[in-house]
Amino acid sequence: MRPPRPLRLRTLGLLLLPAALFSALFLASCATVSPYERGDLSRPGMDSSREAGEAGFHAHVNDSREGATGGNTSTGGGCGCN
Amino acid sequence: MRRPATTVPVVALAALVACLPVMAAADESSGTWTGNVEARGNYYWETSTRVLAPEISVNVESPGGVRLNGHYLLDSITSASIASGALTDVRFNEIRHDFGFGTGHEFDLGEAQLDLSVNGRYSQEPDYSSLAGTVSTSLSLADRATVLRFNFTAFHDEVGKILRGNDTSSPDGGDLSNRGKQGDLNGMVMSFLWSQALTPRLTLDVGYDLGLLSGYLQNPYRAVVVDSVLLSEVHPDQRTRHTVHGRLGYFFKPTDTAFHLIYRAYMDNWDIAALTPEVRVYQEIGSLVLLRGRYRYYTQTRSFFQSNQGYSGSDEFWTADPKMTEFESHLVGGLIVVRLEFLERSILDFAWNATVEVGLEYIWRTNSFGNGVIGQVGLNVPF
Repeated sequence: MRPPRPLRLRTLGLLLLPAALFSALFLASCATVSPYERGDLSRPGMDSSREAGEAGFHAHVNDSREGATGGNTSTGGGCGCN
Repeated sequence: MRRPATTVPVVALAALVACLPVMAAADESSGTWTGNVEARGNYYWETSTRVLAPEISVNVESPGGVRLNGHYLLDSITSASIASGALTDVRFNEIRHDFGFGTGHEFDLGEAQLDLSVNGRYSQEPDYSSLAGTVSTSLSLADRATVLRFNFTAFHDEVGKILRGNDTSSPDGGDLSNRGKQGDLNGMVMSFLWSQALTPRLTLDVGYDLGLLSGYLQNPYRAVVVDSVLLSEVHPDQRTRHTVHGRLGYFFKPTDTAFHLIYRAYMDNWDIAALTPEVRVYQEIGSLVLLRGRYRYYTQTRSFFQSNQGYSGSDEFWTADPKMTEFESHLVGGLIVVRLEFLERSILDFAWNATVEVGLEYIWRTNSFGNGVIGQVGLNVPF
């Protein structure tokens, strides 16, 4: 087995920056939204689970054409298109 | 010449379709079976490759809350790309079968709900096979205002090599096209996702994926000139991938418009770092039509072993993979979703609750893959 390369600080920063931003948003929100207040959250444009069908093919195309992966249903394997 | 293994998937698809009347009957008799059937047509085009991928998926939930799902996808790839096995400028067609089944159940814990599910997937093409299993769990808290999800996927791929072109016969006429198995690829992916309703019109998803790959990670068809000799590319045999991603959704009530900001940051131990910001805008037109516009930007650095200056025998790795280069891409696309409520009380009344969607997207890339087009058509019928 060949040894993996160590992580670079510059690329580590690319990960930590958005993580810190999203974490700050979470921490800023302590109020609980009651079920009866979520009518607008169930509108078609707010329900990303409706896009699961098309997301699978997008992940397939992106995995075979980009060096990055993740953030969807893809697993980084599954076809000979690498 | 190996023939694609078509029998098993066709039987699985037939079984899936044959089950539908039974499921519908259960729905009629008890009124408690629910589910949906989704049929999709996917299309991808770029200069050297065309993909047609029809698929069908079925999801049902029993009166006791047990969910079952199955899918089948036929991936028809037409390519003249050397990276896909063409020895010369010859166009060929390859078929991939992809199918999977799964089951799940949600347990009510009083103040929280715990959902467990398992899924299996198998993909087969003449020179590649993949077997994967996924265990998923989610915990819903605060009346589902907070949902924590965890997925674990393990997979095993077997990589083969089949040469296309006119010179794959031996002098005595034997078939030399199938070069046999080239290697195995094993991997696992762990995903964590936190979904939170922040306000009555604002949601946030934050996730982290860790991928560990080990084994044959290059493409057996791509070759590189090393010290004036053409050699198959060699990549490291281990890869560790980290992805942080988030999605912020906001609903603007006066115009029934939803805005989504999506961000993904990626890095791995091949020194590839990538950023993917994206914006999506959804506009409701009455109660039947939803329009979506989308822009996605992607940029990445090159891998540590990719070189534009050529390779020498002293190099440990070499690659001809465009995905290993520094590049960027822009995607612009539109989607329309139409609910078929106007079919109620017509001869197509069974589809009154269905939706039809049509999407088209264009991608500009700065690497040798070139530009691409993605087209999708979908029909979703709940029952």
